[in-house]
Amino acid sequence: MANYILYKEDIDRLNKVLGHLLSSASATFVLLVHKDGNLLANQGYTKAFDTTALAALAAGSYAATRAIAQMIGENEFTVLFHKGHTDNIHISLVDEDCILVLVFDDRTNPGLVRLESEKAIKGVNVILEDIRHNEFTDLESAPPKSDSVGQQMERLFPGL
Amino acid sequence: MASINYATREISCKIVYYGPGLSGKTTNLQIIHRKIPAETKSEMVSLATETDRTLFFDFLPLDLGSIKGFATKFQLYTVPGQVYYNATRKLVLRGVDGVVFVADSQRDKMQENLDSLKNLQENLKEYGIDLGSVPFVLQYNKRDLPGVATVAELDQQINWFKVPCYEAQAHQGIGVFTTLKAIGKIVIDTFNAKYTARQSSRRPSSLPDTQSTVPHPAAVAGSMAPAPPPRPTPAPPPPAAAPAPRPVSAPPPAMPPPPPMPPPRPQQPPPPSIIQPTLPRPQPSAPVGAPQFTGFSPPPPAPPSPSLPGLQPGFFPGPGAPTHAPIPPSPGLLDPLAPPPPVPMAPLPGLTGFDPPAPPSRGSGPGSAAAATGAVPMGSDTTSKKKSRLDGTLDPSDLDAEIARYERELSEQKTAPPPPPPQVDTGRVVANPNVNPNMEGNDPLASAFLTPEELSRLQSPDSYPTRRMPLGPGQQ
Repeated sequence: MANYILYKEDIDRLNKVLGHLLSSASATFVLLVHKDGNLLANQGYTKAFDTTALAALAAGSYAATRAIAQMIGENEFTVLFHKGHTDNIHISLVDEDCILVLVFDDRTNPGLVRLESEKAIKGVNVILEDIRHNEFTDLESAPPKSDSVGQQMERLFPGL
Repeated sequence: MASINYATREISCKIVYYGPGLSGKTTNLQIIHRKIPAETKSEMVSLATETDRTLFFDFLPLDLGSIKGFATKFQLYTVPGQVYYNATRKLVLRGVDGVVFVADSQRDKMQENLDSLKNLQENLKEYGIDLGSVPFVLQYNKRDLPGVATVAELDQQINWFKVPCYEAQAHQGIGVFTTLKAIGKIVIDTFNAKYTARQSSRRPSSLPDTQSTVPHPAAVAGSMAPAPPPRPTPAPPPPAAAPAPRPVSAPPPAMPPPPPMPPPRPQQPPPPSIIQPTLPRPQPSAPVGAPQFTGFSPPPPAPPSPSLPGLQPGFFPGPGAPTHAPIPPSPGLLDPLAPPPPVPMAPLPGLTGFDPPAPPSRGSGPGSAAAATGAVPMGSDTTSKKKSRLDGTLDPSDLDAEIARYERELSEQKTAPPPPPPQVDTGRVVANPNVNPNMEGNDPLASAFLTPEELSRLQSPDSYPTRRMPLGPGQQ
């Protein structure tokens, strides 16, 4: 079980890069998703979307296409593009662990999205490399203990 | 993969519900989703077939709320249980933090439970994870059906690692949340244990040692809640035996052999982010058109063939013949890029004393050469400024006039008596009367094809020319 430890500085840096990508590509929103399905960072208009489910589905979709790629002799596809009537999704591989999901509409075009994504991925790669070396540093902010989890579950599902 | 986000104070863990087909995995999630309070309820994603069989996975994000300032979230997944969806199950297992194995308690489903458990072990091995090291609980579902195996039997058959097991009737919600709480606690305990171990390994000696006061996560779990029994190392089980009822005092039955370990996944090199050209730009080493070959030593030049004078050796190499350096153009071959050489004029029969004009020289008029040699210019058009076609410098616009002149001369030839064979200088071609006179007699190669004997034979009255055979050099 590998762990990702994200500090505020990492999130700020990621948000900065993703924000720049959002404006340069004129996208609706952008998600940085771990291949396990975890959402690491997001920028843009996400209130109308369930980003958690979207991240899980994008990761699953990418995993499925990766299996297809391996069947035809490729390691994995670095770019996936799903075209809709109004909104489109551009998924690109960031590194071996993460993918970048970009949702855009007809205000921009796939070529610009791809171009800007490639630029942003370089910056994201640098930040992710730093994140991998993060360690737990703050004892006072230790994660909750299992008894607390049990109590919270009891509160959430009383009598069950 | 558990993630802890200090910026948003969030902890996220992934729990996968595994098991054979139709064992109740999706039902567990549906019940959980139904019981989640409205204020924290999220949509459940189900990728299923039309008959409600899970096709890819079911996904339910569960937000437990803030615990010690951390928003604790569990991401619950289910996998398709049917055998042929193994590739999909493998994908969903990536980054798993805890596994709930939902077993079907019916006796006739025991083998499916075993196969699914082995499959789980194999798929985790592909990620380098040992099932014994992952937070893992068992749920014996469908306890309300008739003909179900006892808990003891199920423990004996599938609880290899002696993990906590819970009875359940998922479609009624019984045992679902007990299982969920158990796996949640174990996942967090394991997460904390790893966190504590990291801290103790990094702690500098100058700081007060607080790690000694932090108990081992397993002990914490044991003191605060009914801890699961310690998980022993899975020993290699004996060969499989047929399941049969045994007395209580009998020793436990032989465990089925573990599945063979799949070969380790070959390490794929990461794709290069930037592809650099590694091949040098090829440099032309020879002029275009010349054959370029390396690695062959040029063969010795072949002697010229005596039967074919003038034909350059090696001009037509045979198949598989070794290659050699470019062959310089022979005098007999014409360079296609060079202008056509002046063609010597062949004196026509009947035209005696005619010498072909010399090649035109700069500044000289068209008739100066003819006048210098004293020959009668062909045709009566002394005022023509064009060169004859015979020397290859004819203006195409005067082609018709040239043809007319030629025909006129031909008619004159027919009326005139046959002349004696003219004296031919070396290198000049003399038209053979047996040869079609309409053909040009200025072929540069014409003199290369006949021997004197052949020519004399052809010039006899009873010879039958099959081809144009002009005289060779020095021959009449």
